[in-house]
Amino acid sequence: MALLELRGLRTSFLIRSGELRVIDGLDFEIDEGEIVGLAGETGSGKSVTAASIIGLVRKPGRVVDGQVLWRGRDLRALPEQTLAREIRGKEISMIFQNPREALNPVIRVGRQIMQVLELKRGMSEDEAHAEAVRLLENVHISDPKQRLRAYPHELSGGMAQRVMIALALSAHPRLLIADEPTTGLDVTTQYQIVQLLRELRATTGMAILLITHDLALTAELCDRLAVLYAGRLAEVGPLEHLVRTPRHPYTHALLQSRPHLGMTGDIPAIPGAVADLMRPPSGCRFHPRCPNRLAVCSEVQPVLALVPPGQQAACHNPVAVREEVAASGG
Amino acid sequence: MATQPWVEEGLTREPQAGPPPVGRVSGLLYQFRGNPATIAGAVIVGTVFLVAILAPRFPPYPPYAVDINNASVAPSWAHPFGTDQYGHDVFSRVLVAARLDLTIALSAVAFSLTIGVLIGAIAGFFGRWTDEGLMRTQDVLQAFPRFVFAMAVAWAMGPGVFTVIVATAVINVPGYARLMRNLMLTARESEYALAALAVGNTRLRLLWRHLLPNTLVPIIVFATLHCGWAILEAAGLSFIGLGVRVPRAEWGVMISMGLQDFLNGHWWIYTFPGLAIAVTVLGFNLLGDGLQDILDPRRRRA
Amino acid sequence: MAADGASANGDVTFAVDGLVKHYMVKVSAFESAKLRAVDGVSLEVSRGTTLGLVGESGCGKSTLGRVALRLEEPTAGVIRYGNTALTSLSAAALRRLRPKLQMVFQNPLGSLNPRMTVGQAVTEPLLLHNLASRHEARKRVAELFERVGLSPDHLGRYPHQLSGGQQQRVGIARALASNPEVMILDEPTSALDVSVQATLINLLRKLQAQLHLTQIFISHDLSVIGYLSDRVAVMYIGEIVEIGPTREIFARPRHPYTGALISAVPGEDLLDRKLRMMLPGEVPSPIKPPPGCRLAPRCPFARERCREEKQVLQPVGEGHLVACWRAVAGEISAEDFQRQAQLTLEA
Repeated sequence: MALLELRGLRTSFLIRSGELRVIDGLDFEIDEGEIVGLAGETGSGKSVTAASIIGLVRKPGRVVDGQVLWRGRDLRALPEQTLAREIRGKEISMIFQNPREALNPVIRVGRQIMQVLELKRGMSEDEAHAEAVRLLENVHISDPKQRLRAYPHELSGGMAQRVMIALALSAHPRLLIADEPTTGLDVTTQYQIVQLLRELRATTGMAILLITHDLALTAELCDRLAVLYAGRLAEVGPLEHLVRTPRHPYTHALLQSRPHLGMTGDIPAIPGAVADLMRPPSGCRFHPRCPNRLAVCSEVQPVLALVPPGQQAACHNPVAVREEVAASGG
Repeated sequence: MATQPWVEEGLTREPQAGPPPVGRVSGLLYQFRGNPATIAGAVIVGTVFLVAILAPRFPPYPPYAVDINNASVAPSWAHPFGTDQYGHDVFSRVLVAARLDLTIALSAVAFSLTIGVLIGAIAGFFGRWTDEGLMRTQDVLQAFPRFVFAMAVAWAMGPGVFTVIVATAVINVPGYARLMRNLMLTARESEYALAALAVGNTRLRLLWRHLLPNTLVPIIVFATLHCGWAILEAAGLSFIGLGVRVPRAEWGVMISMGLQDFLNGHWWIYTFPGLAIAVTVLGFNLLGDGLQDILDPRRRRA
Repeated sequence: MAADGASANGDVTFAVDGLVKHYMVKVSAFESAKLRAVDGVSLEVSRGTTLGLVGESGCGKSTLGRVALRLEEPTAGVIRYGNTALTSLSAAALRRLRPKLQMVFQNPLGSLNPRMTVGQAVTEPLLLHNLASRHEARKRVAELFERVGLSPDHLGRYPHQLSGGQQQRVGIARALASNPEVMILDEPTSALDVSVQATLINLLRKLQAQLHLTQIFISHDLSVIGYLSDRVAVMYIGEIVEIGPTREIFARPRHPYTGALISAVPGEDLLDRKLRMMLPGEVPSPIKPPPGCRLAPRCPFARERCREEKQVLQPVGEGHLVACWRAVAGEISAEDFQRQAQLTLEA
């Protein structure tokens, strides 16, 4: 049984002009100890996915359909109280972009960690303090006793993110959702955080859902990768396959649209603009921008299907097939 | 759909992205509809305005007609709010007073706003010593208990409508000044301010053409709320005799007149003007709060 | 000889010399300290070329961009535009030159006045400097929109009604409106999505090919800098540590910091788990920078001399300068950086 399984998840935002179908039928799973990347750009629905999993979608957004199965139990069926007490922060934890802003600015970080320990693990103040020190050591913060007394704004970005990770790990979650954890951090610090997350997975065996727009980051960390476009999965599978042999034209285009050394001429950019979630294109949402577009693409929505070399893509005309055909002179 | 030639150039002409542009008025109306308190406030204020405009032209009874035979008559069909000790019809006077009270309040707000915004904008924009100097003068103004200060001004100027306007205006200047100063401090550091300078605006033009328009929204909300308080203050001053004199039809004065007759148990003489004040102030408060919701993008209805 | 060795006979259009910008910040309720955002920077940009300015957050590159155009007053130093010293000009004279010196800002929405239509925003510079009558301006703005890939339908829209990419195009159009010669772009694509970034970068490249502006392109993203710049300057805590031709900087970085940054750039194959040269610790605050070489506390190649002696830019090749005595002396080089990355991997 998968640790987390999303079945047919649909989340919409009900606004004046209509219904924004931000997530439109998402089937997705994470196994114990896996690091899975959920990659997408603005409007793909990746952050809303995280909120949908732990039931934090706020008005005017609403999870309208589907199941969120955590170890077999549907989280959507649970009352808010249970979610707050047993799931959030305990079984599923989350870290965010801009760690300094996610922490309470008027409470010392030590106190913030201790609060969680006292609440979620029923510790006394002394026990919590000792454990907090231990947690900070686990995330390689030097001089932890001193750091505990700091306020969030006194920490650097990288340090604050480590504190956040320590906080998230304090109740030994089985799944850590990391929503753009390194965006905004220096390149040299980013790498340190990535190392840390890898190490933590190795020592605790927890799974990580990494939500990001940075494909290079996923390449550093993830076992599997899922690419989201306009609320639907375009492609999902082992990291290697998606990065080396992407089958979905969007994945392929995304990988191509970075400038790199020695490149001359234009960067192959994706034409058009992100799909309008209010009136999404018919059939495949990517079809207006797709170089592989066929007639069927505007009529029938493609479903995720197994494609060689070993991933799933939702596409009527996946990438490599054309190249093979071209290569064979067809 | 064939790709357009400029796509080949790597230059993508971007088709319309983002939400379809909603007309500004219809957008505001939509926000409005979602806010029952605001609608109530608007209705109340609208009614008061209507009354202020129409009542003095078509009063049920002449507001200053003395009729001793009908003095202190309790509310009845002929006189829905009764009559006061001089035989004036209270209902007519309450309606007619709306114009005076509203005039006083709006004038006071207009004065306060203009002066306060000017002081605050200059302080916030030029900063440093100008800011220090101007804000300390505001501190001085705010150091006095509001009403006592208003009384002092009124006493110095002698009673009258103009006095009330000036007194009420002066004590409210610091509110606008501080608000505008804070808004200006933030706006001055914004990226569009920097961009405006980069493009070649002089500092003065930056202030006038770019920063001021963008800082006015909270000021408008504040002014709306201020209208309510101004009526209270004006009525208060008149009540203690430092403003409008008896027997002008003005709510504060009417309450004062009513209290002179208090021991006779003629409650209607002071109660109805009091209610008029309360309802009007309530209306402005609801409207002001609602405007805040409507105009603040973060609290908007989606 | 040009200050940064840009070219022996180069037509230098824009240069800064010993530029300094300090801020006083409150460290606690009673104490203020000096934040050395830009601490003695000299560089030159030859006419029609692009200088990429790269560094991590807090290194002062954005401040340098603003101060270089005197959008903020420098604490010390000289700014030269052609033969004119911008720093000696009166406010009025400077204003008259503004059409020639333009900037594109980082935050596309933030840099546009929310209460002006984008058409008005782009028209403003034309009217401010009397570059066109109202009637001519309308035509010119439509042309500008065309040039940056925006539909003229958008002229009457307000900034929040456009997408991020469109907003930034407006910013570019506004900067181009007054026919500038010098353009500073402060992280113009950082706030945008990857796919939108690509189209915008293509646009910038095309515009440069057409207009031959003298540009400074500021970014933390080395891939983009490598793609768009002729020369690259690397900045660390308020100082330039290395500056040289793009190809050389990428192929053979000389300063350890440059080495670390370059090693972090993803290659064409993302899975090519490149050897990353890791710098331990975090970037120190610009309030109390380390004495001597500012990288010394984190640098795997640091020696006693590094901690004591302040490093200055010195030539190591044609138009290539480094602020590291060991690099200049040839004691360390790109190969050492690679070896260092190997060690880090094994650690």
